[in-house]
Amino acid sequence: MRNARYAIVALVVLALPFGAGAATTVSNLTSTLDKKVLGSNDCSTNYHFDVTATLNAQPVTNIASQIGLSVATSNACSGATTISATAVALAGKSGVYQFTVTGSQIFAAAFPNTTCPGAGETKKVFLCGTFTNEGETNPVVTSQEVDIGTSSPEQPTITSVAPGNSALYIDFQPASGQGSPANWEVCFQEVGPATSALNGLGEDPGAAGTGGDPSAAEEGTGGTGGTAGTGGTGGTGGTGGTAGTGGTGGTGGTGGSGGGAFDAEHCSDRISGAKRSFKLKDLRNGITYLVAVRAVDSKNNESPFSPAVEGTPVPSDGFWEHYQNSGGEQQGCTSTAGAATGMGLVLAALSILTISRKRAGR
Amino acid sequence: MSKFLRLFIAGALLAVALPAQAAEYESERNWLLGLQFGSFKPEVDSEPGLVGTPFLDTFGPRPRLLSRISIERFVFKDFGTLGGGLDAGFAEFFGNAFVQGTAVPSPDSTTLRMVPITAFADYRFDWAARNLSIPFVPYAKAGIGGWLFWINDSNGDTAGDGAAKGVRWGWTWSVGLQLMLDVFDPRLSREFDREYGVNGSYLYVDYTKQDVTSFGRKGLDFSAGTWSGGIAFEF
Repeated sequence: MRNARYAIVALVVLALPFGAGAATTVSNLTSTLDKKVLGSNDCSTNYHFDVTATLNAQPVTNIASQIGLSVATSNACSGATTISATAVALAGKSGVYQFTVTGSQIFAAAFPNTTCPGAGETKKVFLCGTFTNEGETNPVVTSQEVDIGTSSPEQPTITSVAPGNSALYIDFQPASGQGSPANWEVCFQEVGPATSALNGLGEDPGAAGTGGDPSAAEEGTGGTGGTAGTGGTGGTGGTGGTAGTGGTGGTGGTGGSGGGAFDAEHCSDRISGAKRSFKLKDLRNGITYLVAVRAVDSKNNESPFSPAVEGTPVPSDGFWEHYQNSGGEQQGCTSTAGAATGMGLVLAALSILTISRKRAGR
Repeated sequence: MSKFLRLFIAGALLAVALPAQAAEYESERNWLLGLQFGSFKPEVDSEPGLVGTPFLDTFGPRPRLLSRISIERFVFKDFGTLGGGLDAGFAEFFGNAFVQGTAVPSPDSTTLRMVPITAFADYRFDWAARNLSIPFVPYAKAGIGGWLFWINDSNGDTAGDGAAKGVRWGWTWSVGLQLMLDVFDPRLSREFDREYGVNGSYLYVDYTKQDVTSFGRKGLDFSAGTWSGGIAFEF
């Protein structure tokens, strides 16, 4: 009996090193990364790198502290620069460990001695997860590519701002030699009431339009407004030309580029980089706005704003107003009586046809 | 073989042959469904008292597509076909507005949309096509109806604070020529009839003159002369 007790104690003592301290073996690592680009705005963005460890297709647990994280220039992860970070075992996902690192950490490992975002750096690197089995020299690795690019698109330009009814129509283009960006963002800032309903503000006001030819019969058409003023702190825009006898005055020039800093009070949702025009809606007629666009690349790098251009929404005459101004005598229909009468006739005719068909079918 | 037996066999053969002759199937034809597409430019600028050409200024000189669908019930089918039906269509004019109070084009858009709905009667001379296999069917049509219209501003709202809509009444007459397609493949045509009840298929050209001034009342003039082409099915 005593011998048996000794034997049990001896077995327990012998078993301890083989249980608690036994080396864990990993045969395979796989990984996912939630964000695979790193732009100039991503320095403080968190990247989640999930590593799954398995041995013979079975999850391996309790190795969070043994998985290393590094940045390499190849997916084999040789010569990698280590990132100081510890994985956390994901709750509910056996054998999955998550590293959370910032864009700055990845950037610093990719570009030693450079602070994110640097001065427009570009590099493709690999975020590596490694586990070295006991007694082996080559670690088991997994990697995910991160495309680093912190250079911003060049400053685009606005080619025209045309006033519409409660709207401004913006035409723009990328900087010379630049292709289409991934997206555009159109932003505006309210300046204040326009000094003239039709004109923006500009340092160099457009020349006034020429009035209609007084000798022309009936309604001579006024001249087109002057060329847009350019930049500066903003003088008064061109005023309409004096109407000739029976003529209509010309329209003033489009506002020139405004001076001073542009403060983007409101921006549109990002629009496709293939577009070259945009309609800013829901503005107020008679209020001058500064408008600027910026290009955004696929890594979320934003270009500087284009030089801001002023524009003032003005009311417009659609066909109905133009027709009425021309002496058209069609009365508006404030009720739907007319349409209802027409539709009633249609329904009546259809009913007759249906009834006649039913009778024919008997 | 006795004389009686020979007579019996001959009679039996005849009895079999007659139904076979009658098997050249044709279902009853009562309706004509047509789809028609034509160029359309109403004479809005011809309105008496109108100064200038607001329609031309806004929408330009180019005619636009007028699509129509019609359904017709035959009431007489002996020497030609007489019928009556209903026709509905759609046309849209899209153009640029003008800066308020000026003749300067604005980037804002403006649209005029029309839905003409007419009741019509027509006569189609299809006797020759049906009896002599001459594949042409001339026709004439007259109708009366309403042209529903509405004009939208650049925001898509009905212009004039919702007032720029209504209906203009008028009459139409048309002449046209249908090409009966059945003669080109009678077997396929019979299959089409057997499977779907379609007795005849036609391609056609049509000229329609419409006088749409609400019978001389002031307002928009949607009168026009329109060339169209279309396809029609008899069933």
